[in-house]
Amino acid sequence: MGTRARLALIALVPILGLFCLLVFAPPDGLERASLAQFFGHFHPLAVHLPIALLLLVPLMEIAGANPRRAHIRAAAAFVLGLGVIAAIVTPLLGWLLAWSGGYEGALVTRHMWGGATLAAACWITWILRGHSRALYPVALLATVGLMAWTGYRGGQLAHGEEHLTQHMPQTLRSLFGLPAIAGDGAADGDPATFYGARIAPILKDHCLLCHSSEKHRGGLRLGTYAAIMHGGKDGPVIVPGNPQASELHRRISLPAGDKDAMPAEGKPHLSAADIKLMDLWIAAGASATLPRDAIAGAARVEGPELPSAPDFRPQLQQIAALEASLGVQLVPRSQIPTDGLILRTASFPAHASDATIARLAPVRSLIVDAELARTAVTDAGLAPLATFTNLRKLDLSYTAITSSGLRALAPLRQLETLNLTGTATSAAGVASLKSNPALKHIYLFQTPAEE
Amino acid sequence: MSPRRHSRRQFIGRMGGVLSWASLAALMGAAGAAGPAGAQSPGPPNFAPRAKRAISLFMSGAPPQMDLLDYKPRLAAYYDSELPDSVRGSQTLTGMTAGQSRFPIAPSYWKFARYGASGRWVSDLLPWTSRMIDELTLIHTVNTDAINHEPAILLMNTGNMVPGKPSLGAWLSYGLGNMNENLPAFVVLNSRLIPGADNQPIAPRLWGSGFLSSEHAGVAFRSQGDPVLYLNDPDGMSRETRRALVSGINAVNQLTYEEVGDPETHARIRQYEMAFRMQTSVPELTDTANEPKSTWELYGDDARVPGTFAYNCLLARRMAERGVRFTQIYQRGWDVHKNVVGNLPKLCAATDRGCYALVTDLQRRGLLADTLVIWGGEFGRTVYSQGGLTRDNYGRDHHPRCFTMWMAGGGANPGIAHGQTDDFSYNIVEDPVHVRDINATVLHLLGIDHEKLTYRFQGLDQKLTGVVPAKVVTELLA
Repeated sequence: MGTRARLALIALVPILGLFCLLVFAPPDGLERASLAQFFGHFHPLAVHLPIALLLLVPLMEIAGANPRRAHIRAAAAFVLGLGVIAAIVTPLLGWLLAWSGGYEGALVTRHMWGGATLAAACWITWILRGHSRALYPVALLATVGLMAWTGYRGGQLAHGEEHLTQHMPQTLRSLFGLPAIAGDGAADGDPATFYGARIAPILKDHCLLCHSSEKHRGGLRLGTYAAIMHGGKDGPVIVPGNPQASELHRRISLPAGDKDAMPAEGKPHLSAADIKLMDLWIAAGASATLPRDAIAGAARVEGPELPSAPDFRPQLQQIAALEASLGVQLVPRSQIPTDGLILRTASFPAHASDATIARLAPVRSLIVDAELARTAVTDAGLAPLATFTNLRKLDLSYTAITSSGLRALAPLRQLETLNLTGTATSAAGVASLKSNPALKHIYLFQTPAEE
Repeated sequence: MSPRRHSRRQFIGRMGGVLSWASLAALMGAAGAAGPAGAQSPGPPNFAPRAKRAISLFMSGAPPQMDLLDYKPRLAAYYDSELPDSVRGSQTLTGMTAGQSRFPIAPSYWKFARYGASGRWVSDLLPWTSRMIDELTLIHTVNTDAINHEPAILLMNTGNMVPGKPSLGAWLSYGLGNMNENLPAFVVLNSRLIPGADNQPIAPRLWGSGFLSSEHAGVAFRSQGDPVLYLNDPDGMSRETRRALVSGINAVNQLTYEEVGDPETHARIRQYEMAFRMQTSVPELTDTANEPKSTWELYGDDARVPGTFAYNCLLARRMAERGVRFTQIYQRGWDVHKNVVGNLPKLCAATDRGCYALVTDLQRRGLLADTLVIWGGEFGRTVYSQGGLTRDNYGRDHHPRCFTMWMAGGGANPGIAHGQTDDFSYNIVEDPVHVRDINATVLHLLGIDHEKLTYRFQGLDQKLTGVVPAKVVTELLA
């Protein structure tokens, strides 16, 4: 038996041992002795060796195909040998990390079996080199392919499942048949709730890499509301109503240098604003159902808003014609075509009258904000105005309208703000607005109704 | 657009505008296709705005934050002791105090008390501001890059320390356009000087339009006499003659445009037209004869004197009612290098009531909800005394690391105080807000994404917030 055969047999022992470990001692999500963890943490460092070495082999084989560079090809055998050693040591370290570091789940299992199979594939490739000119290239190709697959799974474990695709341009995404990137991609929870809209995205961005159902350091999973409230192996991490007593608050508020600070291992820390949001949420009882905007003091976010009005674009020509003939402006509230139009009269308020409002009937559902201050509008104009059913804001200040005319506004179910400054509105007129369900602000400065 | 009509540079320079017009045209169809008669604009706001208009109360010269709104009770114990090196750190000082042998700490001369449901501390110098404290969004941690007036005031107004960039008002005029075609979108009101105060000069570049079309520059009203010169028809000239004159000039300008192809010529035509319309609209705007008694009770008798800060606040309210997009009131004199105790009460007396009156008046008239009011200077002032220090005489030098601004209305979060400074109001402890973050936030409240309101010039998509990343301070939003 030659040296080479003996080496091959010796190398087979750890490979078979590796498979035994995977079968009889799979990672179970518990954390273990720190010495195993110490060695295990060299795995992310060591993985680069087999990757580099195994990629080098086919390059050397191809480059060395030219007889003038035959020496390169001769060295390929040596590099491949090193690759076999690296491909055996690395998964052993990986198993140490997984077994001792609190890992479990489908992704970890796939990555580990990939690693073990890769070690075996390397070994076979190494045997085939020099024995079969036909099979060796096939085996080499398969090994490199397997390595890419395993490496990708490892990358997903370390950097997140979408680490290669999350910043992919939209055109490439559609080429690969990937779904479009979601707006804010809350991990869990209804986006109408504070938890779903504000808390879950923070956890997703900063915590889930190490505290999910795939990988749960300290037994802590932060992927779902139930798991968050369950806590980790040392108990709950959130004390509802008391951020100061909550372990989660303590960990995320510690300075980056502290050994207990989270996120650990140099990952980006939560911003002060995020920490404040977490504290506010915990202080408010850490509820999963509290509405999105229910916590005073929490900075507002622009959520997906319901359309205020129908899309104005199909009526563009009509809008332009009305502007020209009526001497008013119909201004889009924003570039979002369902945000509605503002009826603006500031340039020539005296030109806008009851007849103007009547003639705006074709676009009445598009107008969400009517600026009619100082116009010639009277009570007679309020009846046609009441058919502007999407009206949110109405400014009638310094017009000749009276209390009796206001009754006509009852059909405006969406109306939130009504400015009656400088009109003859009386207390009775204000009382007649009680039936407008959305009305939040009525301005009555310089009116008889003002107390 | 034929090459003959435009030089290569203009043609390329305009491409940015053409492209944004293309997208706007797609959005607005015929309604958006503006010819030379309409000012260029990138179209409606990016998203539904909280504020339709804004008013800036600019305290030029830089108010001392620790004497007004940034209460530092522990300073009293440090009277006349040296500002620790650990606090001063590597801060470069101005030439006015760099040579001082001592940096003695000067606690505020004035008492502070808590006001409103929010319980904010306010100095005795601001009795009117303290009454509306629950309406204000205090920002204690604004910081800037400049330590001298001119670069700092340019940075605050134009987003850049180097002159020549468009001011905030010019960007708003360009980005959002006029609401009232008879008044400029951007008006500047310079208040009268306060006797005895240290008045730093200000110049039209602070409200200039930079590389934007010149019609977006602020129109400065005079503080005395006619607010805008030559709006009255001269003796013997009728309005019809004036109209014919302006039309004639416009026709000549149009010929020049067809020959040279400079878009600025069109801007000039539009400015002539605006000036003609202002012959009617400005006298109506500045005629306060019909203001009710309640106005004078609120603003005080100062407001009857044209050019005072209080009068300008009243004008700002009248402009808000009439659809001026951005009004900027300057009050000079806050540069209190010496005799803070003597001068600061005069400055506060001249401005405090006007600020209160403006916010309150906008509120009761239903305008505050969509009018953003912004108060502040170009930087802060030092906790140590410039020159000698006694209990009732001290000076304060320029300080860029932290100062206090406030906002009110227009979607700002009322009753909060954002950010924290250290016990000396010298360094920021929590939540710094750079000038560019202020600008990004102001644009946001007006419906503009500060990354998207751009104008291509000198090979760069220029924007108010510049190239250093800026952020909208979401904590300031209601």
